[in-house]
Amino acid sequence: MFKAFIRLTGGIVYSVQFLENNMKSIAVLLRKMVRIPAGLVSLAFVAIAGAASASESGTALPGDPMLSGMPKLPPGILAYAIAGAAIAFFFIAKTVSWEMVTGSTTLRNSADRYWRFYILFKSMMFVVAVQSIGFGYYAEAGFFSSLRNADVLALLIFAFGFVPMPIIWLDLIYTRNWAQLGFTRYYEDNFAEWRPHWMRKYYDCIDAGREKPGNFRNHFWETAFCKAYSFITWLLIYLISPISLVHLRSDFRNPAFANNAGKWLQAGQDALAVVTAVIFLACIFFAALQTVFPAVSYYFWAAIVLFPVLVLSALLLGFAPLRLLPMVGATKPITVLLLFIYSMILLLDLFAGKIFKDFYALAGGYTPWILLSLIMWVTHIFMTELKRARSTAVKVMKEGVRTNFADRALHHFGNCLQAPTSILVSVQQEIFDAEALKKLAGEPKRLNILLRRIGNARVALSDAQQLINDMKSEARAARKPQWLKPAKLLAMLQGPVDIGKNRQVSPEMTFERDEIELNVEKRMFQQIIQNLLDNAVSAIRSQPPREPRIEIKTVYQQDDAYPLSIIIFDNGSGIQSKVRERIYDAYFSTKGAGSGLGLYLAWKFMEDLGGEIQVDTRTGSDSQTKFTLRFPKRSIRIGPNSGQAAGKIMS
Amino acid sequence: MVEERIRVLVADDEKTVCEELEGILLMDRTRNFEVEMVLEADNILPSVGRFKPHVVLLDNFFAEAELGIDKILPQIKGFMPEVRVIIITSKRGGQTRPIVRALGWQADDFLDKPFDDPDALCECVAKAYQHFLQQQAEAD
Repeated sequence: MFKAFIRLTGGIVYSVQFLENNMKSIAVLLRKMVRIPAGLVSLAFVAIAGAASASESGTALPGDPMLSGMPKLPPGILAYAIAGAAIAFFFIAKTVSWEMVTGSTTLRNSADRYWRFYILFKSMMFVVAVQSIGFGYYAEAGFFSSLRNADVLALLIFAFGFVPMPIIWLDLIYTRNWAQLGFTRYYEDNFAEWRPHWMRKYYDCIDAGREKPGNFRNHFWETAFCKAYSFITWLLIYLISPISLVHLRSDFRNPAFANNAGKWLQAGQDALAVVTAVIFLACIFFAALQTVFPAVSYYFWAAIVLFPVLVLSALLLGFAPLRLLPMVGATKPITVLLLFIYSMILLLDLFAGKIFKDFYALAGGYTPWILLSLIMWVTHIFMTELKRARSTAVKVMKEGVRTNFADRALHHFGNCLQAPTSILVSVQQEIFDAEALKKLAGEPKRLNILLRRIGNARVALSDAQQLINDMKSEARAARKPQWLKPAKLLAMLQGPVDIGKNRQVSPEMTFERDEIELNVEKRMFQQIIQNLLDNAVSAIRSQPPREPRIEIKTVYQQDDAYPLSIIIFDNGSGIQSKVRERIYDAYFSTKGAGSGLGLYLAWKFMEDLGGEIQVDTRTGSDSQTKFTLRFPKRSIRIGPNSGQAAGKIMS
Repeated sequence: MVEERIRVLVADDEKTVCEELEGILLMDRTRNFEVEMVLEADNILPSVGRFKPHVVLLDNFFAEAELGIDKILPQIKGFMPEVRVIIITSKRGGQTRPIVRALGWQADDFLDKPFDDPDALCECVAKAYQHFLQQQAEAD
């Protein structure tokens, strides 16, 4: 098996060298075919991005207060535009003015000037690309939530972006050494004596390593420095890809697609993004290998590392175009199509750029990969920003933030008013005169529906009344608290409770240290406990266990930050994990009736006291729920057993 | 009375709202509505598949939905592209429409609640049904 692999590798290396030796003209043609379209696509990209961002900001209707919270242009769009322009310049210029950079004597000065522009653009592009990708990554990770913070972070990332810039710049210059291009020759000829000492060492290493592998043993520290320097430099540039891969993983696991077309489209898009990340990682690995073993043939490493990557890419890329139809929404197909084009360009460039020695391009031939893959990621982030802007609008549509009590109360109230409002109109229509009334009397089916609607309207009004009561309780919570014995109040809840099907259960009560007093508002406390008990009963009703059990107990631990705990336990249905984090939200209820305020009030009550409420629950065959109210030290004191004189307040 | 039955699916997590909408539609004299109610977001798609409504009245906010309405709506349309969807919303001031259009949602009409005219609801649903028929005719 291994032998076959070696033979296969050898075969590839041989074919590569065969192509190189015999088909140079095709290589030139291939090169130009790749570069010009790549340049044009880059320009088109910038145009699309500009148009899309303009139209996106246009959907925020002016003067509409609902939409004032929407973000304007997606962040990174400016960086993207600069990056796109730089890349376009690079590709087009490289193709059109190839002669300028081959070191032809007559054009030496022009090459020099041109090269400086190029280096400047390229460094700028790297910096802003790193910036925008980093920015996008942090945004995706939810690192900041308001636009104000986003600006600060963007500034920080921008500043940070300049730290690797000198390194990238140096690397770009010094890798010219390998490429034997005009500018480096010019530089080496004219500026050799200006190099600082450590740079000279670096150049010596490189030359020594390339020509006399044995010398590495004699220049240990220089060698180590060279290897470390190269490796770290590439690592800085390529560090983005593992982050991107992590970012990808969460997309890749996206569940629930609307239909098959959407699923495949998503899969195709993700496949392309995976390919990019894989290629990046392969490049890192490859660069590391080349750094650690510079004496070994480039082609050997290329075959071993890149061949499986190519096969994988070809398979995955073949996947994507088949799934481009039908188009659902505008942004995904554009992204996928562009990603596909760029990936094809990457592959073509691999063959055209790497294999043919004359075109052993800049930065060891990795540049096209970096540039194009970076632009893919900027696109990805741009599209993500578009999605985020949309989801902000969706949130606006969702009628208020979940924890905003007043908004949710209004929504609930509006719902409660629907039935009474429309039924009164209907009743008026049906009985507006004696004729209509007679007619209605003769249509029992309609009459029954009308009566049912009236009953429903009464239920709605009673829900509204309940809501008002609960809101009053909420307001009441601000009243002055008093010292009282929880054990005494809880004991009042003793006695059998109906759990349906002619069954009853009595809550078991245990109180440790029943002389403990709590400083709380009495009626609020009672209502909280009653709510929790009602929930326990509901849970048991909905999934009656063989031996239903409700426990209410107080637990006291002197040295705890929250010494007193009141626990309400039931072995009913338990709380499902999908709703668990929302149980404390105002107006959230898993029961059909009721206000949905019970747990919200409990949570708020404990928060205001400086305590906390915890829930332990599980569903399934031995389901149960346990609510623990934990009271802080300052709200507790030990009263005497008689409950008369003031006790010592716990410190 | 028109013979053909117009199938309407009413989806709202508030039971009283659902029942009231059903009652209004069933009491309409000039049209023959057949109504099914859905109280949970998870049951919307299965009900659409089973009942095959012509029109869906969809509340824009389901408190318990893991998938928000922005996902449910495209799912319904993806499942049955010809079904007409009317979003019922508590947004007052008629601001629903521009937001929903801006989002590119495929809702066919919007109704702000609480609305007081039952006839307006029936008209709205009937109009949506006409669009449904038109689309079907074009498809054939």
